[in-house]
Amino acid sequence: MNIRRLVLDVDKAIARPTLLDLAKAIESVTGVEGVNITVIEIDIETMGMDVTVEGENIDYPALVKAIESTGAVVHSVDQLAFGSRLVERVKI
Amino acid sequence: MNIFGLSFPREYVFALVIGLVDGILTALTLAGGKVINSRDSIDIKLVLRISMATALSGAFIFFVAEYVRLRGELVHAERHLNLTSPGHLATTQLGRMVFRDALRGTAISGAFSFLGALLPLMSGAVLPGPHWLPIAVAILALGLLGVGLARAVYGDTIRWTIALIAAGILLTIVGVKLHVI
Repeated sequence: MNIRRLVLDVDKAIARPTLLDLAKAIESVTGVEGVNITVIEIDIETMGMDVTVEGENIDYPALVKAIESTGAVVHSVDQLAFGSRLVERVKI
Repeated sequence: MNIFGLSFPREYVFALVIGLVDGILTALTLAGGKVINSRDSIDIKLVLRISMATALSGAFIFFVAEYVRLRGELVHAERHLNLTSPGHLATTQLGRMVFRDALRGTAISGAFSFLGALLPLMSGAVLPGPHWLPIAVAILALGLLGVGLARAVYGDTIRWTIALIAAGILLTIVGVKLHVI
């Protein structure tokens, strides 16, 4: 399966890892060409983020492993786009 | 954080301050009796031995306390991230990161503990003056540190200075009574 885009719901503790640590870990995964990390929620102890990853043949297990190796946690996969071309979500 | 116009990274200030205060106070406790009761100046070998002992014990205490604190933070974060397996974060890069941070803090704390003990005591070994000069220099150093810290945290300069000087005098009295060396 040629995974082209993943949007993940990722949480981390406020202090560690830093967003840069997380970005570096994601960037090192096979197939990843671009990353967007958007902070969507901050409370006293944790930070919730939408992590959007695009590329060709993204190695999903390696991606989750890379994120979790930094100490962040993948809560859910909120969007997955795959195939020979990128298909945007269609709102009806 | 700025102390006397010198900028220190915030994460290292704790190690620096604890090292410096521990070094000066431990030196006063260990050497107080020797300096006050003896009419001779303190010799350089003894100064180095006291400084080394102060630095090593301070560094070990700092490492244990800091590593436990940082690992405790990871456990705390695990609960907030709803991780079901306890100790999970310690197996990630965070575990290695907090270990390195604790070691880095230990090195800083140990180095400043060594300097905190060495500089006042060395003044008695190399500078001409009364036999109680090292005690005066140590207490003066604590006072100056109090001024610097009060300014850095926008606290009451007089209270900080008096508190640190009082701690120095108190531990000197303890050192004289115990006469460790």
